[in-house]
Amino acid sequence: MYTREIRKALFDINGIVLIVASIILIIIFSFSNPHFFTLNNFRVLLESMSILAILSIGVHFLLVAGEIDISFASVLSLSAAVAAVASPGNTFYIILVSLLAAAAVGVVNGFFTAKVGIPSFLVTLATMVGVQGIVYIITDYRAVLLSNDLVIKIFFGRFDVVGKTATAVFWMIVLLIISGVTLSYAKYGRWAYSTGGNARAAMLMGIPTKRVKFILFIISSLMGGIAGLIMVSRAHSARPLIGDGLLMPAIAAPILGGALLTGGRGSITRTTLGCLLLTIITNGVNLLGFEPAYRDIIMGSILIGALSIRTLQQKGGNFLIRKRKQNS
Amino acid sequence: MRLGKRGGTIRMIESKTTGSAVNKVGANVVLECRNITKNFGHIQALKGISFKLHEEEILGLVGDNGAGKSTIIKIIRGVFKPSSGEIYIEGEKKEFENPGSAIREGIQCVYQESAMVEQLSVAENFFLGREPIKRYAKGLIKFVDFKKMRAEANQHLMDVGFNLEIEEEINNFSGGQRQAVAVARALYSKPKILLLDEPTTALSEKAQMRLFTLFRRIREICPMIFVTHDLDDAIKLCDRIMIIKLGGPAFETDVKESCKKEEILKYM
Repeated sequence: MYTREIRKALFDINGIVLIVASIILIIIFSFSNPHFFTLNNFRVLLESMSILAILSIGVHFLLVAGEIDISFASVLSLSAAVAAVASPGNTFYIILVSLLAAAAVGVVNGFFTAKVGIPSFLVTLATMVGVQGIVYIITDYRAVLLSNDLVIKIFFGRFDVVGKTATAVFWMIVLLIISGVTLSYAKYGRWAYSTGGNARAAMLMGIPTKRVKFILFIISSLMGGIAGLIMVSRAHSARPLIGDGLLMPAIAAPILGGALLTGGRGSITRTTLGCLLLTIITNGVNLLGFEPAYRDIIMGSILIGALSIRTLQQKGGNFLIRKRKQNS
Repeated sequence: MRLGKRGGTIRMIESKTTGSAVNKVGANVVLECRNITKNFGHIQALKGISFKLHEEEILGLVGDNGAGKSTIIKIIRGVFKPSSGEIYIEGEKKEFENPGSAIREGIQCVYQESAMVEQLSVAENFFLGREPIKRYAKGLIKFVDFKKMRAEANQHLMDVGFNLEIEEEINNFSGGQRQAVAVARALYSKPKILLLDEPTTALSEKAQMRLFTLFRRIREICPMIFVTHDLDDAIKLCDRIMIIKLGGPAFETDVKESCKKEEILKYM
């Protein structure tokens, strides 16, 4: 059933560009470094991608609904810090409080954006700063050890399946499938597209647009929470700035995949391809021994390029639509 | 065909009402607005509007921009709450919290800008906000039934005389075609009342005439309130006209052969 949506997304121009770009980069990096095209490196690549992809799911949901969340990196740090501070207690309790802390930020974001009407960029900018402050207080500016093995096993455990790939990859795949199917086939998923495409029309047709946005902010923060649990399980400790550096790529991935900042468009399949491309760049640049600064320059350039192509595409598309309407 | 609220079908109605508007209004009152007022801060947008809408009637609310006609529609539609006054549907007093509650009471609306989501297909716009659901795993999983959506949207658009590519995005269609989708969408839920909020303002003459023909065909299925600033349009389509000026009723008349436009214009 979902395969039709995947096919449609892959054969869209954005999907083709992402696939071709990823293949070209794989070829370049494979010739540049013998360690790139190895099974072990692809495992590392998938594990790195898992955190980015989970964060991008949350961003993707909100972009589809015409909103944005930039607080998720702080939410990731908060969730990781809460889990570390709550350890070595009961595993269920650690996961629960960690995700509740994340969801609470989503409730604040959703309330001030959907109910009060403040632009989401400003609300989430404020919560990003505020939540990071809370993280500093919780961790006392230091790295806090996560001393619960079961949490580590659940979120970044290595079992004797598929070359001991970490469970984070499993979580990524499950969440990508659930979110893709939800957006394409569930009523709330379609309502997210309607809300982002034309909030007024959706509201007039009886769609509870405010509630839709409110729920999506909570989902976005929960994704940050899950990514935080994976991050803290991978590092075995929570640094106050553990989510640093993820803000730009997690927003860039859905945009590369065709999501519009104005809402109403986007595909989880292409967002996944966007994550893959960005992870390949990070991984390849690291293996080539370049400083992370070069990675940031490449990512920034790619994002500007993608946005320019999108704008030109839209202008061309609008021209064709106008011509067609004139003829009909 | 399922459009007829009282068992009638589009085809039957077409044979009765081809041509200009026929003054054949039922006796029963479907909607009554009593002394509706609306204040936005210190501005009084509506100053006590009262009117009745009968079965099989097209009532025209005519006035300049800012006269308050769209405010009345938004109150009946549940977008605004009135500051005072009452709304009765089939004799029963109603209060609408939001557009959803008005829709549930059988009130549908076609807007000037047709309230469509550009990025969605014709079928999805047709079912916007009330997507048919298919249940899986003993009802635990609920997905939108796209197959049913496409088939029913196609059928209902054909019923109102439009054959559109149902899976194509709505932004590929002309204003007239989009309004036809909006009308068919409004009729799908068998509404008790259809509100037409300047639905033909942005359309060409040809598209406008096509929609007027459609409205005449469906007047026996559900009565309509046609909001416009264009008196000519109201005379062409409506059975009765109410002129609204500065938030209050200025003049009311039946539309007859002897109806003089110049006389009505005095009150605008």
